[in-house]
Amino acid sequence: MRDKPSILIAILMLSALIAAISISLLIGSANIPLSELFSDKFRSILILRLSRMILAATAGASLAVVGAILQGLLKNPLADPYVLGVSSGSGLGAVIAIVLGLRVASFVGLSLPLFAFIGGLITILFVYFLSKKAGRVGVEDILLSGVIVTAMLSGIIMFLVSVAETEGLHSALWWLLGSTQIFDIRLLILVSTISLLGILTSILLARNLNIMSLGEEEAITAGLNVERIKLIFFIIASLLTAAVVSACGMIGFVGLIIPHVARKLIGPDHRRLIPASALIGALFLIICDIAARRIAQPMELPVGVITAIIGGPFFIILLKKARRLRI
Amino acid sequence: MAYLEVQNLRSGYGQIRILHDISFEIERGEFIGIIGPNGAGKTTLLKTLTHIIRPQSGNIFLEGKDIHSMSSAEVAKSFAMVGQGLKPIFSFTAREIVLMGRTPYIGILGQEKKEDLLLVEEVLKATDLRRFADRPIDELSAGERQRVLIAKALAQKPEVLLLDEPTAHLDIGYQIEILDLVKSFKEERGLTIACVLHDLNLASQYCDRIILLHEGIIVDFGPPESILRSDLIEKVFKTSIKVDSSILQGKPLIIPITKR
Repeated sequence: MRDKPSILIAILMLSALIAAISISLLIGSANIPLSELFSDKFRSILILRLSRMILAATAGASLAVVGAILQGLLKNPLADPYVLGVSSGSGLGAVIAIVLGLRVASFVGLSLPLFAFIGGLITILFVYFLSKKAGRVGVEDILLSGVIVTAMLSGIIMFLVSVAETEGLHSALWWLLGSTQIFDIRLLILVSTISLLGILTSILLARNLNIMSLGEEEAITAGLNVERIKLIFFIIASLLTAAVVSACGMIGFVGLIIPHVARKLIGPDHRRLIPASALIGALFLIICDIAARRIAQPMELPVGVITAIIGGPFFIILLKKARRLRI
Repeated sequence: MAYLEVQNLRSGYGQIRILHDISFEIERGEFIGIIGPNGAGKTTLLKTLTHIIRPQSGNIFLEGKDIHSMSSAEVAKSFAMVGQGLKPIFSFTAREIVLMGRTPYIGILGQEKKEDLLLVEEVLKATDLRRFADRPIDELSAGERQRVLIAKALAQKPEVLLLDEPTAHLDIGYQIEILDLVKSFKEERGLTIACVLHDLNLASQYCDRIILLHEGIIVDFGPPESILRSDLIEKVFKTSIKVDSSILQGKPLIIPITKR
């Protein structure tokens, strides 16, 4: 029944994505005429824009997919990639690196993301073991542990940022607000590989999320090994979130809102929902990134500011609507 | 050897024990009712049979095979459960929900095949759901939603169908419709049924035998006439009743009486 419109929607989405990609390559904070953009003189700028666009697409797709996974897995439409506490852990790792001026020799450009990634993974392990009781991981326990750990770590981040010197403060703040600026091509390759693998695995396993979203007891009586499914998706969600947060900082609202938009368009079946979320998430963040570069020219805004400004009102509408018709 | 054998089953949640040393045997194709006051352990018994809760001790054998040596998928091919209502957070259609019943046959990496889709159509027809198949489940009435859940359980192709108060919150028309449907599975498909019921008069009419549970112990197990006696029911439910066997073709009819 839903097949025909979903093909149409897929085509529309893909065309919109291609359009957004082209625009993001043509527009930047520097005004370069189209005729010269592809000349050797501006090659480095073109590469910069290209890598930035790829990072925005990767981050948007990953965050949206993780949002879709967690909303289904935790049976909670308000779940987003940050409920697990990964982001605050990555944030703490990054802020420690910035404030203390830590550098890993021969990985100068990569040391911040590295600290962020490690911080994120340590946190998720902590949250996981915190919510494990008698061999089972309770869905409510994950949410609760995630919220508690996030609150604790955010406090420590605030403390470190407020005692930091001015120079460190600015870069830490900038990072916390989320940005798609990329300085090291190796980081881009690493993050986009992790994301691509994670998204493809999620699509392969997506059918299991359908029955998980009916509730854990339904899934068990239908013969699903729910602890294994939870663990697999927990790992995918943590890796994707930690990778994206280490490269881009905390870009909010994408992971919360995009799955709802996708569900409105193509229905709740995760086998279509996850690819659709990836597509729409990538599209959304590329557009937000273009806006971040253009709105306050010649200054550039952190893209997290744009997603929050667009996302906030959207979220309010969503909540209002959710009261009338369940989403 | 009985078809389904439960031996010295102890079960509960964490350290708390709800079922104390339960043993009983069921024959293939029986319609078994499980009755008892709130908190007697009826739902715990069903959940232990379907692997939702691991027993603290004791064994469950289906045709001589210990179900705790079986994988979740194997258990799901033998036991299907209809729980106490479904509150999905996303608007799946009735057909999508019923199709999820095929999960134990598909595996975590697989996708549904043509046979699965055909079987689902057959089940939708048997449960008279084809009109609603493409409607989101949250738009259906309570009775229709209950039928969707039963259809999902049936799509699992189980040998034993477990139901936890399938008639709760339904009007009398739907109560009879749902139980007639379940009874037809027993008669036409040879399914064994175990059904938790609060309405003793429905239990009296539909069940071949009834398990009376009280405080985690089986008080008695037998045909309706021997379980639905005023002395037994009054003691367990702590209320006065009158029993009339003249209306329901010899089956006991139970009327609760006010204490005032």
